[in-house]
Amino acid sequence: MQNDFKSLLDSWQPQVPEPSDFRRNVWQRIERQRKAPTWFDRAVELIGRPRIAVGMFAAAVLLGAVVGTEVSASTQSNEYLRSVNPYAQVR
Amino acid sequence: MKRGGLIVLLIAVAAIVAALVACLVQHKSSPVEWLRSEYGLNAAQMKQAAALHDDYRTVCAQLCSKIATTDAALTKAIRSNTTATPQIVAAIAETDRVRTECRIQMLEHFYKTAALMPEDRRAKYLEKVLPLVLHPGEMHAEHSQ
Repeated sequence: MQNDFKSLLDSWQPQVPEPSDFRRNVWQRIERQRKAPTWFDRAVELIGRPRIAVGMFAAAVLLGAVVGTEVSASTQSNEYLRSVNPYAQVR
Repeated sequence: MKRGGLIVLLIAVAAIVAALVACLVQHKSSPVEWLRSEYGLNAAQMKQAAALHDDYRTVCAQLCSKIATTDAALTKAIRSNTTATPQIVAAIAETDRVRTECRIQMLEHFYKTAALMPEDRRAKYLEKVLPLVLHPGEMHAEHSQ
């Protein structure tokens, strides 16, 4: 039975004609894949590394805390100035 | 690509959350608490500063009320006349008098508060608050915001 199947396969000829630019298209696609990655691709790849990701996460949290603290310090300073300024309470 | 995008999103979320948390924590403290942390007051100085601040707040509210009253009187006088009548002149003088009183009270309060602080912090504090006394004209611009 295996021999029958093999002979059937050997005798089979595809009826669909191969497009004339089939090979060229295949090579074009391969070339496109071979092109050097862009800076964005590299950045994404870099960020994707666990250590870098954890480091950036920590840095983002730290940066957020520093920015938040600075902003709130400025807000508090204005709040104090308003609290001691009678003019600020007129309007 | 999806992995990178997710990580960028995580970082953005972390930064926003951190900033919000910091803001919320800082917002919970009072103006006097800000004085303590900014100018390094100890517990005793903080207590005195808080008492000074509370006393001054009463004066401040009275002055605020006076400013509003005199401003309203001046506005009414100006709108009901077409020339600079003695009534208008008196109303203008009264608004100036109240504002002068206000500046003097503020200055006294700032000096008293500065006196509670460690010597090396007094100049920094006065530098921060004295513009309120030195440039009263700018106060309205600030307040109308």
